[in-house]
Amino acid sequence: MNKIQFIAELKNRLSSLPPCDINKFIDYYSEMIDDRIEDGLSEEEAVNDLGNIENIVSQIFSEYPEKTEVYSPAEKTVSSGKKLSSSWIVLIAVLTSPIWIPLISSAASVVFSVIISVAAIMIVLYALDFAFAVCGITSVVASIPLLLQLEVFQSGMCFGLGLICIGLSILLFFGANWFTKQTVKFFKYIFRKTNELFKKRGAAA
Amino acid sequence: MDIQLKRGLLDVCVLAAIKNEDSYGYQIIKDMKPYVDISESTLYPILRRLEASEFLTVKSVEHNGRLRKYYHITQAGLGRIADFKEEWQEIMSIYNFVTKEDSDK
Repeated sequence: MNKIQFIAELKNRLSSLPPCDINKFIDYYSEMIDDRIEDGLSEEEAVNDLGNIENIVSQIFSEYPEKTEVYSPAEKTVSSGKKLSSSWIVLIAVLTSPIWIPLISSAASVVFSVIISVAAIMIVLYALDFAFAVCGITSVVASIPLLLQLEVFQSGMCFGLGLICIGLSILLFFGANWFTKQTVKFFKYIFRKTNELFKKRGAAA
Repeated sequence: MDIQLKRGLLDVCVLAAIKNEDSYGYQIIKDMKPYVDISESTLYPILRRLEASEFLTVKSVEHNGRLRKYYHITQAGLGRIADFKEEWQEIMSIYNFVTKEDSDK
């Protein structure tokens, strides 16, 4: 079979396809034949090299109905059209705002008050700690002149109480630090969880 | 070989054939011949698919009084080749493990 016959035969068998596509196939195989001829083959050899025209046509038809697949990397999935269009989302959000705005405000106020209370507790703990420290040191210092005045009992009381106060302040210092650490940990945890929640939502959308 | 697997592999092969310089259909088949036999009718849908995925671009160039289609790899196409190499690192180590088990017997 020569080139003209081959092309004619191909056109004939592909006639059920859209003309645009038929031409693409014709151009493609025509180019293949011409390139082989340029490589040194005769026209007959070039056509034969393409193989059985039956096979070519059946392969074309078998690949044909499938829309050209687009490669997508493993993580991405093709959207199946389930997501709501953004204009709908905005509309619904506006219409329901009398409900969710007050809800969100109250939720925000609660969160805010919790944060303030926790901060207040922290401040109190450190302030108390500072107070104990000052008390303690002052007491101990005050016991000295008392001793010099030979007020042994009062000196002793002062000194003892001073030591107790200093001790308490040291304990309280560690306590306050522990409290602060726990609070920070807690807030980090909450922060992370909310982030994950939003990420999940974002991925599902 | 599994059809889907072979298809994916041939896609990357074609990209590799045009990786270093633009090429045309028949040349691609010749380049691949020492490694894998591919017919024109197999190549055609691969080229279409790669073009649709924007891994290559096509341009018609005049050659000896006729038009020849040249295929040019894109950045995305190069990325696909890189992904392929990475995927196969993993497959190779699994292969090594599987064959190691055999040789231990």
